[in-house]
Amino acid sequence: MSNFAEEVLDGYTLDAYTLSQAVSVDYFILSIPVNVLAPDQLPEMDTQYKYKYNCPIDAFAISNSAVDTILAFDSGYVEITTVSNDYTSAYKEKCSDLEGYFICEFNENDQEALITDFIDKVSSDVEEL
Amino acid sequence: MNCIIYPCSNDVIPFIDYINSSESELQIVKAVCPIICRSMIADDICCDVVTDFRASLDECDTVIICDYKRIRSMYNDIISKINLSLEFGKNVICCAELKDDDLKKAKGIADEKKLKFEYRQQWDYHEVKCYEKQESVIIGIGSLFSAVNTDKLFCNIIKKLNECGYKTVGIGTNSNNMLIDCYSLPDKIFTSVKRSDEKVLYLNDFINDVELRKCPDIIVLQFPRRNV
Repeated sequence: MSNFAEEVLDGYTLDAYTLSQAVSVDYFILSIPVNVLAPDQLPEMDTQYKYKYNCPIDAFAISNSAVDTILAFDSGYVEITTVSNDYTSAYKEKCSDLEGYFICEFNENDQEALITDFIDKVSSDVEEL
Repeated sequence: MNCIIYPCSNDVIPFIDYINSSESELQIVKAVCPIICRSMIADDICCDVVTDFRASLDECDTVIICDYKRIRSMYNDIISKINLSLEFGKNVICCAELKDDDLKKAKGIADEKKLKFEYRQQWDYHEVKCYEKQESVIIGIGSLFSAVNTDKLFCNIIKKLNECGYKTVGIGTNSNNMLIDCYSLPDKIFTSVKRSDEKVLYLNDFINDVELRKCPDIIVLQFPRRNV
């Protein structure tokens, strides 16, 4: 369990911002817990990343972890619990209508597909140049 | 080289999996954890999990001391395990941060006994002249919450890309990265460098330095802490 307030003080996400200024990212993967964002909120997250870090999100990796959101808002603590892979599969299914993003779980087959998506994306960027 | 790793926690499992499934000269035969933590270790770990450190020493020639989130609370225990390992003639790879005195002492014992003591990558201040763009392709991995661990994703992506024939190097946030021949972002840059523009220059220089040393096709970069 980590203290939410301490996390906020822990750089106000500035460390990630500073790092984003030091490199030019070609492909970005955001790892998300299974129960925090509705599928239609994922493009909004992409917009935030574009403006904040100058690196749009190419893929979302769904972690089989869930945040106790009620506890987080009530007590200020973020508690992560591990959930069954059925939840991540169901969430991935719900995201199937989203276009422009690769959605994957943390399993072996999905990660092979993630690599393929990355190679396709980078190759097409090179061709455009 | 047969190794044991201490202290084992769920956070270190992706690294154990990576090492044991790759052609690394290291092979982890046993993961040792304090008795109190045994029930919390996940079942899908690819080696035996034991609690008797002393008995495990007989089955290895190298001891890996890995970094652990709550390492400060067991610092004295870590020091005693390092000393015990050296006393029994075992090489030590240490990813945990040690105090200068303890580090000097451990290195001294290792030199005296002609053993290998490998310590985590260190970073020192030096002059940085200019910002340079990397030539390698960069994959960034971020996390919505710092509590969502991306180490497994990080290790798997590096492994898959290497299998596909791309020379890949990882730069992550975990000190245990050195076990899989990757680098960890120096915390010192974030904590000790005061000016933001200097931090950017130092980070850029660190990444360019890794690029120069390893000449990778792809760099997998794990973003620190939470991003949003």
